[in-house]
Amino acid sequence: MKRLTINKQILQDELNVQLVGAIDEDSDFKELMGLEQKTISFDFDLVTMINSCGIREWIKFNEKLPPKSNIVYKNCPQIIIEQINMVHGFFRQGAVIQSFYAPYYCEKCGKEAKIHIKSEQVKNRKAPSADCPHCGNEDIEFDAIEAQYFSFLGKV
Amino acid sequence: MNEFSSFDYLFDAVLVVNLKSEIVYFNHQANIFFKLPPRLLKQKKYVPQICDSNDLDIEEWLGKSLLSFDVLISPEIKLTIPHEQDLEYYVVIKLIPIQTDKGANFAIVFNDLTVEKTLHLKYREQLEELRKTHNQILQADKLTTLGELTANISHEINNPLTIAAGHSEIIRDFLMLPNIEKRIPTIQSANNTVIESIERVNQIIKNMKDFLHQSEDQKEYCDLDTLVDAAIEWVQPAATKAHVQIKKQIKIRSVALANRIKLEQVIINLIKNSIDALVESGKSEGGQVLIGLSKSDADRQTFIDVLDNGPGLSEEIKKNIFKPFQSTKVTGHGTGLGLSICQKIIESHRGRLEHVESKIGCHFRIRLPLIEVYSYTRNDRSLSGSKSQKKILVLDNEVQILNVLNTFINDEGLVFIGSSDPLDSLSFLEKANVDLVITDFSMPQMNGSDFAQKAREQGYSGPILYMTSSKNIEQYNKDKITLNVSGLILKPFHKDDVMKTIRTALKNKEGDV
Repeated sequence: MKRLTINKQILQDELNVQLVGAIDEDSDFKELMGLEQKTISFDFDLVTMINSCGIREWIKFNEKLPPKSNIVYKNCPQIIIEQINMVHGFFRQGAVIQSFYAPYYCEKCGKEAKIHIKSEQVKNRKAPSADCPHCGNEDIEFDAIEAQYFSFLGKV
Repeated sequence: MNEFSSFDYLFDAVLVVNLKSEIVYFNHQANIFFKLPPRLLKQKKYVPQICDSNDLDIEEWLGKSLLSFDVLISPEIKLTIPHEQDLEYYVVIKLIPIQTDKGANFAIVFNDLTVEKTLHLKYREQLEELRKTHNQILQADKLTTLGELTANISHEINNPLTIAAGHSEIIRDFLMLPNIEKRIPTIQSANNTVIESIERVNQIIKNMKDFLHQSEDQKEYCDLDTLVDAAIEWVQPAATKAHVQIKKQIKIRSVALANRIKLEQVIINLIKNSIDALVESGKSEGGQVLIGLSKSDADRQTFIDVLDNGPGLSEEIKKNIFKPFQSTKVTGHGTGLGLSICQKIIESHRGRLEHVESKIGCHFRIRLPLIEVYSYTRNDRSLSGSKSQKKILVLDNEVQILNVLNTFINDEGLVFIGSSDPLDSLSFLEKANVDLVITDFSMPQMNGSDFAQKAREQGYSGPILYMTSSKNIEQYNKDKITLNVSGLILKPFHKDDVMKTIRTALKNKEGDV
């Protein structure tokens, strides 16, 4: 399992943190401590796995984020959304989930797809319509239970 | 709302099956756990279509379990997910019968232990790595000690070699002279000197090899007096060179259950530290190192004390004395690991190494538990209170006998408790539950007969066996009647004879009950 790598760039008053690999018991977020910026955004696009020990480390780290900073989470894969829906404290109160991935299925070509969605596209916990990235089918089906999958949107 | 929808609130994956083993419901977590969206999970009719295990025939287990209509828990198994080849879980499966209006169903709950299992394996690996590193440090420290002593040891080897070489030359010259018959006594004497000198060199080399041998964690009964002598022999050349006198004060003859080499390493380190301190402070002329052996009945401990009349330790050094890399020596002398390693070694014997405040010089004390207590408690199985594991107390002042019987008795799955002191044995018998006692007959403090009498007086009613030569058979015949002594192990003994005597005595005891 690839250990977690943390890439970070500071541009003007925003700290962009890209997380790459597995978030588990070996993950250490110490290197992000003290990097106080007006906005801190976390990109989860390349996170491959998260387990309960990783969640614990993440929550501990979240509690230490600068209280005045705006926290933004983006490109959350399905594994992260599933954890968010289950675990209290994964997101800091007031944080913004800018975008995430959701599972879809195309009946026409029979393929599954993870569609990138912006939070504002989800209304009343209903999956937005999407096109099949494989065959171009214009109305593919959401492939999870909507009320459950989008329940995190009520948390933030 | 489905009658099983309350399972959606659980963090465990749940599948509900009917009496035909068909899946009739799955909770939200099941989608996540089995990596199957509801669309696909709905298409699976039976559990083995979703997951499999080499440790348990899930279909068969479910079939049997459904018949009993009781809560059942599987052993911990490795679960594979056929459609996700890289995915493996360690789980315990729980089967819970549910009676609803529509009939009987069963909830199959998958308790995911993968993280715990992974952490446990990781922890074991890291512990093993630490153990290896610790042993390497220990070995490195021994090499350092040896390196520092080498100059003096080579002097020790050179002396007998010079003597041997000189006497060989005498033999060679005499063999070339006429009337050799007249010189035979001189040649024989020279030859004996050569042999003795070579034997001395051999002994020094053997000591070095023993010291460097990595016989880790092999504990045996050792005579502490002999062990202290062996340690002194190592440092004696360095002491002689520095004009430091090493003295021994033995108040008791004591036996320890210890790793002989490691304990020797600790004593060598302590003596060597004292010599170094005396030399570095310029007090080596008239300097003394005293090694004492004593016992505290109140603490049930044996003490090994190492004292010197050197400069002692400053308050600052005392605070950090057992921390690694703390050295009072000049750079290049000593690793600074000595005392922290010594501390660890003594702790591994359930003892303690401490600095004792003294007005003159420096005083270290090694506290070791008395062997009866240590040999009883080190065996975890005996602590678990397993009734099938009989506890045998063996009293003998010869460590070789204790070691041989320890091997015999442990090999047979019995708990061996060694003792070298009759009074300690009696005190131990008062406090602990012992199934059988074997006592040597001829001991310096008291004979076997007196010991048996005292044991009976204080209420010990279990079997007692004597271990002696045939010359004491008459006394045994008397004690058999008066003290209910159960048997005799004749010296020299064989394993089969010893074990048969023990087994029979234990069997007869159970028969009495």
